[in-house]
Amino acid sequence: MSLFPYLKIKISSLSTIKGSVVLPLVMLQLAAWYPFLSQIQDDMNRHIRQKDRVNHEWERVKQQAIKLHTIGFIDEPWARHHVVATQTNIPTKWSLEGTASVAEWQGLLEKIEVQFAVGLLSVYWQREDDGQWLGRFLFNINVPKANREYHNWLPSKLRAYRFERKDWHLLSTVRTDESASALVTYKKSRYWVRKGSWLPEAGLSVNAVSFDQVILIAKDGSKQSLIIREADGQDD
Amino acid sequence: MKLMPTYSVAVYSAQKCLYFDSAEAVRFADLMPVSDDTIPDSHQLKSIQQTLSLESAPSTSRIIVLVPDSWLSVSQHRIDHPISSSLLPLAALSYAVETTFSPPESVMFSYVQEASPTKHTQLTVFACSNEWAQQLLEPFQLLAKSCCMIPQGQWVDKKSRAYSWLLCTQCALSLYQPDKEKRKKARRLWGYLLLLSLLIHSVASVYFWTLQQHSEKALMTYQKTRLVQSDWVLAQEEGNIFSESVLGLVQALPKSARLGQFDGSASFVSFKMVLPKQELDLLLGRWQKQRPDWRWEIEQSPYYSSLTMNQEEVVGVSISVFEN
Repeated sequence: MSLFPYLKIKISSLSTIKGSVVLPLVMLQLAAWYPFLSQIQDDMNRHIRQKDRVNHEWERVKQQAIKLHTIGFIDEPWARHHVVATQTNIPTKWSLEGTASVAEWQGLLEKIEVQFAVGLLSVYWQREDDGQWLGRFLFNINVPKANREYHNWLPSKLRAYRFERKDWHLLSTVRTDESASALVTYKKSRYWVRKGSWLPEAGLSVNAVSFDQVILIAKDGSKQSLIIREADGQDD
Repeated sequence: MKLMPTYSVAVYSAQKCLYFDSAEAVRFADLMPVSDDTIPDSHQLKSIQQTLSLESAPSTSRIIVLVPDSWLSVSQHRIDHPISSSLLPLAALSYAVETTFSPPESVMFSYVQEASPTKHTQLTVFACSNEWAQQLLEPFQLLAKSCCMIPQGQWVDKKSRAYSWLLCTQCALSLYQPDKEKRKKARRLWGYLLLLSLLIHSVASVYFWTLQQHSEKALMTYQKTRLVQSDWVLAQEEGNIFSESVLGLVQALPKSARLGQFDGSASFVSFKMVLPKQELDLLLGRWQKQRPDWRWEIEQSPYYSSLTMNQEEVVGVSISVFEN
């Protein structure tokens, strides 16, 4: 009952509606929609962004997969590689194998890391007598990201070896049935060496001993030869 | 159920009054136009009204009463300028008063405005006194809630069109209502408001719905791709961090140590190297301090390296490292 007078006023005011009332009412309705529309617009934009990002990522994974299957290392003919395992046609495991010097290995691994986002599953290194390294890698495949961490998977540091010839003298070589030995001096020390010997002070291995020379090999794979010199005495 | 709001129609003629259930029925009825100009007096009217048989008529809420034009005072006026719609009722009223000689508050009238191309206005005014109208409408007012009286000439004009109740009320005779125009304007504004509101809400909801569809579609695509990708990621083995960190130690070997083999393919890492015994002890001490959580297994073997008189012993060593 108490509502009745109010209603009466309301009804009479209905007929006195003006243009200036219509416009605010229209604006009010527009305003009422605004939060919902802007909310859903934000949602949509967010979802589209997410979708684009994940699609882009997946596209890159697929491109990487194609490249992994087809790539050939022209400059490194010693390297062999193949895809070991896949999931829905996208590689998950990739193996790499070869024998080369540390410097060559470094070049190859850098090249691989630039092109592919790979992670280490297992690594095997075997030093060969000639100072080269047999390497066997198994990698997992990651999503290629613009900023990724680079790894060092080499067996040793790549440092240039400086050979000081004046520190070395080959004094004599001795040949028995199977092997040859040599007497060399390094700085003030004398060593009897044969093929495969390790000279810790110099950081050099003996690669070969022949009748008149000894070939030394540094950690970086560089070789030096010492030759018996008749006129050794004159140099001193 | 009929879609069109129905109303009944009563038609007066000189001799009788006919009642029709619906407007449709009137169309097919043979309406005799009233030709003679005589206006019946109240007795004659009574006898005409007695020809009606309203007892059998179904109750209805709306009745239109068609009255011969000659029973009303009809006047035509030529005005040499257009009249604004707010002034038009007043103008019509003044003509109606003029022709009926009745005071303005007891005149019922309706008007038709025809604009001619030469900016002239042709105004036709139908008018009658309130009393006369009451007499004409009397039998029907008992039957229906609302009655409207329309000149027959007007009705014939509208015959070709679909005539709604609203249209009929607009051309019905009525008393002068000063705020009729105002109400009309208000109604129009309400109409606009309603229309705009409808437009806003429908456009907004369609837009909302479209956005939602897009949003859901994007989300679904995202989730699908995500699923495929996560399947692929889950199929991967995790990277071998342990091997990498042992490799890191090995890479930092001093100059006097020579690595022979490194095997990081099993659950543990093993490597072989050649180095002076002294250096080995130093290295092992440092490594064990650095990585106390790792287990080290060391196997030494004499290594023929070089024969020297004054040199320290060089050993070959095979080391296995386990991650506890």
